[in-house]
Amino acid sequence: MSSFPIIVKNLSGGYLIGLNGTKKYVDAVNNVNFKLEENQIIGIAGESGCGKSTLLKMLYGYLKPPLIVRKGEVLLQRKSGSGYIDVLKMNPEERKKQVWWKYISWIPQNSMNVLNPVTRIRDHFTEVLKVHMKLEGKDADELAKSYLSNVGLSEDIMNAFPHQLSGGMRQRIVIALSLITKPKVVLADEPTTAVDVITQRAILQLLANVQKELKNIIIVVSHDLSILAMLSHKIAIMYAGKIVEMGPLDMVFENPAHPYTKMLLNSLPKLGDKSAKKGVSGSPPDLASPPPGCRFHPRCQECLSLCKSKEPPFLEVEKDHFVACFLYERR
Amino acid sequence: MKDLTSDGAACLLEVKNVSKFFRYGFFGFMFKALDNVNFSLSNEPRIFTLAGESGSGKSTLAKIILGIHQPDEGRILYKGKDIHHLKGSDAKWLKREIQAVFQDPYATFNPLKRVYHYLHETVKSLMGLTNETEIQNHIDNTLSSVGLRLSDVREKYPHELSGGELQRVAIARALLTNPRLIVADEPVSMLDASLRINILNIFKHIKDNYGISLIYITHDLATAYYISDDIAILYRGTILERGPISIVLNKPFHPYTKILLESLPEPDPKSKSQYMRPIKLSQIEEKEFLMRGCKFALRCPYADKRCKEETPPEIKIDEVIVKCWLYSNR
Repeated sequence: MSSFPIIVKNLSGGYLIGLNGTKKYVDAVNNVNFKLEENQIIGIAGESGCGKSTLLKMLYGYLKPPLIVRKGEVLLQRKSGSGYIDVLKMNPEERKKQVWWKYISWIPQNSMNVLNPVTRIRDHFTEVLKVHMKLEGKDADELAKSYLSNVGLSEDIMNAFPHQLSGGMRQRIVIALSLITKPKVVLADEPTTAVDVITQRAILQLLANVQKELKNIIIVVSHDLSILAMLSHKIAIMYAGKIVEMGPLDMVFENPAHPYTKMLLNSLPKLGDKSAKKGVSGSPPDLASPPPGCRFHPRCQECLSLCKSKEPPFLEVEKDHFVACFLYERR
Repeated sequence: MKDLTSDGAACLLEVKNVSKFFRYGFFGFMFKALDNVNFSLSNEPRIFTLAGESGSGKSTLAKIILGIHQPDEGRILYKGKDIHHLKGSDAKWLKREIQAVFQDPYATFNPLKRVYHYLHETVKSLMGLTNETEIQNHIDNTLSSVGLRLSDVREKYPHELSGGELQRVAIARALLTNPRLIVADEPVSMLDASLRINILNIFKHIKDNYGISLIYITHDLATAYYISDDIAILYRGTILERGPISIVLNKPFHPYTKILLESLPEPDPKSKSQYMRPIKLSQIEEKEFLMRGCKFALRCPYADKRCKEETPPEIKIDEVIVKCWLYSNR
């Protein structure tokens, strides 16, 4: 029997923005449901503005205004076999002390800029290890050094200030920090945006190796399907706040079901392929007033009349491969 | 200044022994951001990719070709004329001939003015048109070549257009002067993957239909392969390999090109296991810039003593030119 360290139920939320006295609601995440089995890497792909980063913030329980959660639960199992806690229902202080770092950690976007500029790298590690692992002194130092060498950095870096290091190095340090407490769930938001392809490869290899060792769950968000293809076991495609397709990596790439996924995959240039390609036409909808029915219908080439008014169900097209599309309903 | 008048130039653009020095800090050491760069574009319309990672000098080279920076050594000839020594009407002519498209379209346009304002200014100052209807017609025609209409953008401010649309306006702006060469510095890296291909198709279209050559500067070899004819691989200010793209990227000679290609993530889970083979990372950027020999020697699996001490020569293998001692005995 498999256990699910993280379960997301009917999660909806977004940004409530005051505008000239009126309130505007941007529906960034709408009715997201999934259960994740342990020991895997999940990639979430989508265009910018599709709500993928917002979803990660909600999973982490990082709810700062204007971000609000309208409904739904994020259930986290702290030990296999134990009960679940709802990350969203906890009070913020408790969440910070009991859950963050220890059980779930978050590598935010532009993570190279999250280090404290007046604190040495050593002290970043010392603080995390002291508070969350009760480790101090020599033991803490040794552990920090071993994680730094895992990410390909030498020990000298311990004494450096963040500004003395390149963006790629800082990004690797943040990744080392987020993994050192061995959390059950790691959330990584565009972990390799500002680095060159060779450093990118090293960072992704690191994530894959750590995951193999800890047997935990890593959720990686990216707009770049290529890096998700290299890294994940399972992939989810997000469009306008909704998960439109989800399944094992090979199935989604070899046999994409949703019209959006198909268009997305067809638009990617590949090395050694000079054949003419077409991009996805149109642009994503304004999430303050999303289109009714299926949110992709204005751009969809296989749109049915039903799609314009009714929301499509989440259907299983093959084992573990789900799609939210009416085209598959009669099966 | 003799070159100014030399006619019948065989090449559209010649980059000859160009070097550029920068300094780390005020009292810091000098290093070569570009080190003896050579390449040329022939007269027929071509798309030429300058590929490199951050710190390779690709944007510095773009700025030198656009006349924003002066080279410290060497020169750049456009249609036989040294572009850094043009004055008066010649300088204006060059502005019409070579145009630029940059990475971030939102930084290209003034956020407080309608995008039409910029288009209008460009036509007026560089094309010398004064008649309002002529200007409008010219702008409308140019916008249609990138798939937009004047009525769509006329009243719009930059923030009212999507990134893809605004980048198309930026390309149209470059086309307004009827250029012969466009330098595009990472023109699609800010855009979503699904929109990139549309912009790339526009570049292909303007090459085929208007005979405009393009210098495409990117770190993304997959998009480069899709649109380019030729490629030069830059590393720490030096071109390590250059030639037709179908040869360089399918059968690379230089060890760096090989590693770069292996490290390219592909939208195909089948290449996963190859991609996950462990690699060696560089840590010491400064040292690499200051290396006397081959700049890649510190990371190269084939490097020997000579590589670290002597600069490798340019070696011609059929249509490809590679800077590597490995091929010196051929």
